[in-house]
Amino acid sequence: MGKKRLALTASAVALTSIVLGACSNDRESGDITLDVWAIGWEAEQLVNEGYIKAFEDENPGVKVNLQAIPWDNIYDNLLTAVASGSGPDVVQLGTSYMADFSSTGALMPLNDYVEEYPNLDPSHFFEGAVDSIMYNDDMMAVPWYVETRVLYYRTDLLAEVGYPEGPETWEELYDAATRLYERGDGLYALTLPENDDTLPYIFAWQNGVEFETETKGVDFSDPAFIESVDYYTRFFKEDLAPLGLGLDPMQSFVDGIQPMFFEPPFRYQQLIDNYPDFEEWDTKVMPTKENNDSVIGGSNMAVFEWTEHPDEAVAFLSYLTDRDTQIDYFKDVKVLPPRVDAWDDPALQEDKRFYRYFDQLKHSRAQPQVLNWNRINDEWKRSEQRITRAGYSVEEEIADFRSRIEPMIVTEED
Amino acid sequence: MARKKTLHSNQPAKKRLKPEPYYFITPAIALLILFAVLPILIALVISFTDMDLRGITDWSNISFIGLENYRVLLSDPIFWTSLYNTFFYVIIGVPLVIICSLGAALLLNYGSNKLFQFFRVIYYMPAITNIVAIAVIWGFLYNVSYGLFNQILGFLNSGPVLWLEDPTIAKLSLIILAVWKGIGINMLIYLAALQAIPKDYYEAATIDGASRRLQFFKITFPLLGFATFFITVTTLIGWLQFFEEPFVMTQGGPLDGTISIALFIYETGFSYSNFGYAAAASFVLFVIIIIATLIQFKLRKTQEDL
Repeated sequence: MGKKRLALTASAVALTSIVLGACSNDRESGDITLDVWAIGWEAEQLVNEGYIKAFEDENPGVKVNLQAIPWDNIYDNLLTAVASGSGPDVVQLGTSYMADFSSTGALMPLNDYVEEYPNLDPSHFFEGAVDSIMYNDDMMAVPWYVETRVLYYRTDLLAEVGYPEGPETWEELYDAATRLYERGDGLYALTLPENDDTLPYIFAWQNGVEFETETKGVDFSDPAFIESVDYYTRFFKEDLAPLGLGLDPMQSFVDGIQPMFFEPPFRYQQLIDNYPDFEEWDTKVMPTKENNDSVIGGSNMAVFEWTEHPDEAVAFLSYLTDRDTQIDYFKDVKVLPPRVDAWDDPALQEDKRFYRYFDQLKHSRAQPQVLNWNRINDEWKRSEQRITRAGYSVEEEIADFRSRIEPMIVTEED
Repeated sequence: MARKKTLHSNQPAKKRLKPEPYYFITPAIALLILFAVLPILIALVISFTDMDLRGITDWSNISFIGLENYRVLLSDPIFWTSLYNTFFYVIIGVPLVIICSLGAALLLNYGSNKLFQFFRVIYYMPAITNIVAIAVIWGFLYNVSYGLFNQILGFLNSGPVLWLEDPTIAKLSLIILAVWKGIGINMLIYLAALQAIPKDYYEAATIDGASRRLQFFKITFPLLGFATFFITVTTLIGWLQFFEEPFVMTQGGPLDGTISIALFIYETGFSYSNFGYAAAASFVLFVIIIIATLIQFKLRKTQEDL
């Protein structure tokens, strides 16, 4: 079954590439090895599920040498590659690395290839995913897979407190949380990850805050930011989301100890796999304040500028972002395709709870593409801890946070 | 023959350096210079620049900024926190490792049958176990809700301890873990030193009617002097570079309660690509380690002079 499908995909790719005349001439001559650095388990599946082989079959003379690097090591490996000016041809990048690595000039802009390889056309992808691949109006990568957060909730327990459909808005979320908390000792309302580098920004966006400035810097001076942090940290301060108890989010969700959380798609698969009989849960798009934006994360594929085989490298990206490849890859690996048209496939619409991610992806945005974002992020986590654990006031801590990150903000004027 | 004769008769010629010994130590010296001295010098140079991610791809982006990094470092509260934490680790951890490993070595020195051999392995095991595996297991042990430690405390009717959630307790938790991990190697060194002490001393002391306690303080401990010195120096340097435990267990949190200098250097250098700044911090750590070691040697010397 799987093989048949792959063969089909392969021939589809072959057909498109022949029709579009994508093959360059030197491909037929000597053997070309394309080195690819990809990250983690998802990358290994490219080999295990036969995608690499399918690509090689359709591009005779091209051999793909894929190295799957753990997430923990990839940043160091990338640094070494950029520092030494040598590395693989194709590289997978987390969306949060994009600005820093684009700024080094080590990535090859892909703008000129879009015409020849229509799969790369940004209009295929979710808007949020496109934000993360653009740097100074150049397209530095293509989205490969995406992820976003949606609300998971226990239908039975939320019905008991009057929200059978789950909370719609910020007020409803807070109200539901306090009622769930009142159920008794040792029972809480939701799991909020401490030290999270996305949820506080999500809440800020929902409150209408724009961090990114025109000059590629960030600005945290909006009073709405204070308001959103106040809202977010209140869950910790009032013990609605317990701090430091070390509870397992999934287990306590199933046990009803923490009946809500905001999770990326891997959680869907975990729940299905580990608790096949457990049905009292549903998903919902993020609760709304001014909007219900969520964050878009995931991975992009980029080409290093020193590659000697740019055409083959781009052909590989084109293969990965082909609609059929994306659908197949979803079926095998269960990561979300960034291509909007891939979501028309029945496989993705099978389960309503999963298809919510599609609704959310349309209202998702990338983290600010600014330099030093990782550092600013870590400073933010520091501030968050001070507010939730050491009782600093939100306003003062944000003022302190802004003074600390000021030297890190690199704008275009510099 | 003639040459040999002149060497014998001619005194100044004898002072001429023989090249042969230098041939033998050249590879070692070369490796030392290449992998130990050179990196230190490079770090020193980098610490005077503003090298970052854009700097390593294009050297024209690097500029010389003099002592600016050091000035910023001294006004960086996180650096001072990491300095404080590191001294906290050293002051509690180092004596604890020495006492525990000496204690373990003394106990294991009582016998040499299978049971004692088994325990040698047990004590040595943590030293060779992968730190990530240790972190996973200890993470479970320290877990507030499900962890073994709190289960035992609950059984004894005392409240749950937030092992890794309070800045000070988290530091102590990491020290417990690091001591457990550090005993093995030092215990082996002590054990070897203990077994090198001639039995006659104890026999003579027993005949003279010295108690076991007195024997320990008058014979065993003084004769372990060099082992203790060695262990103190290596342990101290190791703890000044305390890194793996906070890196894998707490990432420096909560509230920067467990961040050490080494972790601070790692973060600024490899998470934020702020290489110049990290080099400056690592040079400060280097100087601290040199000073601490020199003090040790000084103390050792006065001890020997007595």
